[in-house]
Amino acid sequence: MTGIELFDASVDYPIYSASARSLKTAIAQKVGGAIRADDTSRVVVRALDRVNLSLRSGDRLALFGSNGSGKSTLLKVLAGILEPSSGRAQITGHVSALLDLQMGMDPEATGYENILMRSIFLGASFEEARSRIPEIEAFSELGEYLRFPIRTYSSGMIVRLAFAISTVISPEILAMDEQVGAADAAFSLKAQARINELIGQAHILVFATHNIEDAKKTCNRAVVLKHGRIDFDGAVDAAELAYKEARSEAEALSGPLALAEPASSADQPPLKNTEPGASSGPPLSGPRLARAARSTRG
Amino acid sequence: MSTDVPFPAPVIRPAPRLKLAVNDLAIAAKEWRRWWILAWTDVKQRYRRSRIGQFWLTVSMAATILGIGTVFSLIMRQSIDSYFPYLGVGLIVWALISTTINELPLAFITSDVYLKSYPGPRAIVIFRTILRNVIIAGHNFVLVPVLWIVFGIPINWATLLFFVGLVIFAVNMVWVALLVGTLSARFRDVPQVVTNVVQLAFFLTPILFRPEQIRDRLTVLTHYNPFANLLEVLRAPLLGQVPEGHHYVMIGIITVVGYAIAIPFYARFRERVVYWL
Repeated sequence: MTGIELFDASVDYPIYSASARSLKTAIAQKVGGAIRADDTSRVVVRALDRVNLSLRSGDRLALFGSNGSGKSTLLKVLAGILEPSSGRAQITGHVSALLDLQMGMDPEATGYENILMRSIFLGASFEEARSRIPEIEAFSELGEYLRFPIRTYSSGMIVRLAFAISTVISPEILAMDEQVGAADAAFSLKAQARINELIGQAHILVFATHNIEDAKKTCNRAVVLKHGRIDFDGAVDAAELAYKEARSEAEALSGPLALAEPASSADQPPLKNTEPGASSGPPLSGPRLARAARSTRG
Repeated sequence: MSTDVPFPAPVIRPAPRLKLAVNDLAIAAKEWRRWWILAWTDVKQRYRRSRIGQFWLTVSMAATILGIGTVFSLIMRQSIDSYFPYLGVGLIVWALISTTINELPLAFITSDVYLKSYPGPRAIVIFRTILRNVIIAGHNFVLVPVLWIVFGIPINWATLLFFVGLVIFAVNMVWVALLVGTLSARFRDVPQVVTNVVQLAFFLTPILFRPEQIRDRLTVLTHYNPFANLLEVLRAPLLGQVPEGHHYVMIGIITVVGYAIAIPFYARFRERVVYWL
């Protein structure tokens, strides 16, 4: 039985390079989880704060939230990549996490070598991996380029290949970031069709996004995150209101941050969550903290 | 809508950490294709745009054996016929042990992209590191038959014990990785500490010298030194000899004690590793 259960799941990212003294500058920060010192005066960022969530077969969950609200972290917890630092996460079913598809591709290896390597890493047998080649060839439309090392590819071509490899099997639980499949327009349509196919076959979908229209099309449930807490859990239409409210609130408070970060503009839902790679890269790295510090000075 | 339907909260007791850690290792072993392919990819990478790739390592090993062998057989007043194969096989086996132990602290650190983007057991990257080092050390082992032929080493049933030694080696590297790999993810000084310990061990282990030369004085170096025991179960078979029984006994004790420490340690910190990367 496919299912995901979170019981009081919290995620505290320890920041070993920051001293607890920077706490006082962080008191007034408006984005991201709460920055605080734990009992050993280590700086931790609370990215998720006692989240309770239960997903069953048939659930198509959209995750909304402004930058740093904990979307990516929750996605990783639901996918089983990150185990909560307190509380429990119980995940039953085969998970496919489409977060950053290009992670771990070998730039010196050819397209074909990467197909085999990645397929096997994602759980295929040697024969299965070989049998998938024609389908991936056709879907990526890379033709002769598959014989070349992928360092010679354009970024769009790498996206095509990574996408084709990662979506060739349909999982029971699909955890997805919206930046997946961002390539040229023609491929985008194809990618969208493939994603819809995967979603149709998945028992559970978790989709982190900024785009409410996208979510309305694919999801039947939505969660709005605010400072690592679930602010709203219910129908997508109702979530729209809660999300817009949360977003305008964040903007009103953060001031200069909204200028520095057009991604949080309310009128124009951004296409991308953050810079490619940043959201799925180091969980909470320098820039996000730096941003928090900046907002207090501004 | 799923949220509108109230359902009784299922009673789920937290799985014991120890069980999770053992499962992590067991599932990783079962998903051998995943670390197999990662290890081969690592090896292939070293061959890219290089004509002989990893065999440069073999060339360098041959040069080292030749250099040290010539000088030390004179210093130690040993006959070249007996000292060269002893030193050569010792250095080749030591290269396997030392490079593996030196890379184990980096097992989690250098695999951060996989651990942070894909679900699955974490021990996969430990097995990847060990297998990669065995494959790479295999390049050096082509020198062993050369030593056999040149110095007329007898090849017999004892030689097959090398494979028993290899299994003992791999099994022990896993618990070392659980300890130093986890520690290194949190404290980035640990890899340096390990490198220095291994460097010191090189001089304290009978590789350049023979156990007989220090017998009755520093027996601790030959009898209780874990490196010496591990080295001997791999070296002796390649010299056509059966390793003395006490080496197997010591290695057995080291293995049990190692796992007794490493498994609870890994169980305690396994879930934190991804946070530290």
